[in-house]
Amino acid sequence: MPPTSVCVCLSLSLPAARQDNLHSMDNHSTHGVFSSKHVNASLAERSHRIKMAAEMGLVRSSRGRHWSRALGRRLLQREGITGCGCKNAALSTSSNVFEDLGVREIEDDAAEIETRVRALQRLVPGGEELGLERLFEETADYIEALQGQVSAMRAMSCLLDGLEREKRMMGK
Amino acid sequence: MNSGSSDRSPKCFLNQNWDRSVDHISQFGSALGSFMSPQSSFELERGLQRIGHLSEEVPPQSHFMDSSGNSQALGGLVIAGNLALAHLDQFPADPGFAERAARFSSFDGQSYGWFSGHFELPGSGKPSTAAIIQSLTASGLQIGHLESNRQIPVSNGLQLKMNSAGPAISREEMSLSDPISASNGKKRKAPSKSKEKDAASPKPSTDPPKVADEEDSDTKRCRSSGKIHEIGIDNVKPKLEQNDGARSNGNAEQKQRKAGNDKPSEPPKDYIHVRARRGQATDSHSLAERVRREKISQRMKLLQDLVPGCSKVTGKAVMLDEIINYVQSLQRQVEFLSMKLATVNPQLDFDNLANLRAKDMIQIGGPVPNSAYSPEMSMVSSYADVPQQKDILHSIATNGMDFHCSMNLLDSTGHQDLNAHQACLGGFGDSSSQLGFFWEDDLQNIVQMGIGQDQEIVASSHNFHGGTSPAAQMKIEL
Repeated sequence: MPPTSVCVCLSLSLPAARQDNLHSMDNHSTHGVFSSKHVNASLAERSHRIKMAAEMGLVRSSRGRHWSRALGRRLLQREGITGCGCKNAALSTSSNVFEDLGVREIEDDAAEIETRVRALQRLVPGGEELGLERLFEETADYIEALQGQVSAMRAMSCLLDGLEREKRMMGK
Repeated sequence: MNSGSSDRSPKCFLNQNWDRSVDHISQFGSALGSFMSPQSSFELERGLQRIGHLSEEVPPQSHFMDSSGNSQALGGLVIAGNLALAHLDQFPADPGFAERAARFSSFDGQSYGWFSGHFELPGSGKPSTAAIIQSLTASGLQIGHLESNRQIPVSNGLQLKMNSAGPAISREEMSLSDPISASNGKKRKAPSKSKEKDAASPKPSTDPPKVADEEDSDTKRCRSSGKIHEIGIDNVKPKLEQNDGARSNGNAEQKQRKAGNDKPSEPPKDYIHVRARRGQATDSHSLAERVRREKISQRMKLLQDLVPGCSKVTGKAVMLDEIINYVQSLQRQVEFLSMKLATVNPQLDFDNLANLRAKDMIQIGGPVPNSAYSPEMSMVSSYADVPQQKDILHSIATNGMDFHCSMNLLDSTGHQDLNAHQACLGGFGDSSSQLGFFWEDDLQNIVQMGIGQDQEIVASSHNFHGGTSPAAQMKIEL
């Protein structure tokens, strides 16, 4: 991923303008204040959906990579199965990938490395079937894509945050 | 003039690719010219040129070489040597000549024996001739790493043992293969005699049989009992630098140095030449293993550059740890940011994720009704998708760029001018009319108002430019 490529990652969606119930409620809501369960649920749902969209964006922006295909497959699979209400994330964010692998062996250097390699394989989508050198390749590309994604999302959030502030200022 | 050489049945065959080797041979001839009298060198070159014709007449005989590229050159050189023999018989025995030849011959002590033995030298009593033969072969083969462990005194020129020539042969072949392969490039799909690793697509199933074939033919040819390693033992010789001058093709570009440079300089080539290090096993498996390990360490270095704060970490395990932590943190950031996005903008939602397919996104750029249908215009990369999604991006970009100049990746100087912004977006037209599609009314008002306030916002956000590389980062803090 050349760092100089202008990966203009912009994320946007059409506002759910037709979800009138949400609309009316959200107009009055402020940051972090959600009085109704409905809003809370929708927040979680929405954040999940946003995350899915972000991951789709990841997939789209690096087409042709092994990990992106695997991630795409995973996303579509989850979407098909769970609809929009599921909390499972395609990006696994379990705090410790090592836990899932069992007891960490510290006795042997090679085994240590082996454990870590497996952990990395779990992290990188599609990594489980890759050999070590391919895994590193994919990891490098994946990291770059993730960095771009994070930057873009941060920018988005700042943008929307500013919009909101403007809106509120104008409202007053 | 060449009748003598035509009579000799070539020990090796020439094939059609000889033409490419001719330039090598001519350079070889010119190298010789440095120590031969002009007339003789001219004759030699003429003779060499005839080799090209000779190649068409001579039917290929896979006597002891198969139809691999460098054997052509090898054979050609043998022929050249034969021709030279025919020529050199006429040359006066010149003491200075012999001395110069001896100097050349010192470059490669071990290759002579093989060549000498095969030449069946006529008039072997002439030391000068022998020296010339040696020098011919030496100069011709001074391509890469030719070992010169010992100097061959001229008088003993013909007494070289064949066994010692064994390892030298593979090296010579390897060195020969380089210019040939440099010129043949993609043309030759069969592996050359030297051991090569298929860098592009490892096919381990095919490599061992090829290696076996090469080794068998080597054994047959050299008649040496020991196992012939295609990969010569690598001694980085000081004389290499002298030899390098003889080559015009660049200095063993395709060869792997001791440092293990993984990238072949010629991208089209499929193979990486590998050299065994001194004192290391040279069988195919350990070499493959070593290539693999080098690739892996190279990739690890790449990762080290990507992951911040990893440069001082040494050791595979710790670095892997760091990498894992970093990937995890990035993934967590994505999740956190998506939560934040949901918080920041309550209207932000994607209704139709399930319908979203990768191929569908191309069609999103088409009609965009302002209805419940909410196509997702998620992260797109400009180079791939902008043409289709131009309409959408117009609004996005304009909208976004209007408010936050620091989002202007394309402009590192941070224009304070709205028009400049729009211009920087590369032809994104005025899309304010499209804003209605994408934004609700009140937001649209905000947008239009925001455009007026752009200057102010620019000034404030300009401060946040510092430190970010605009092309790569979109970090904006408000």
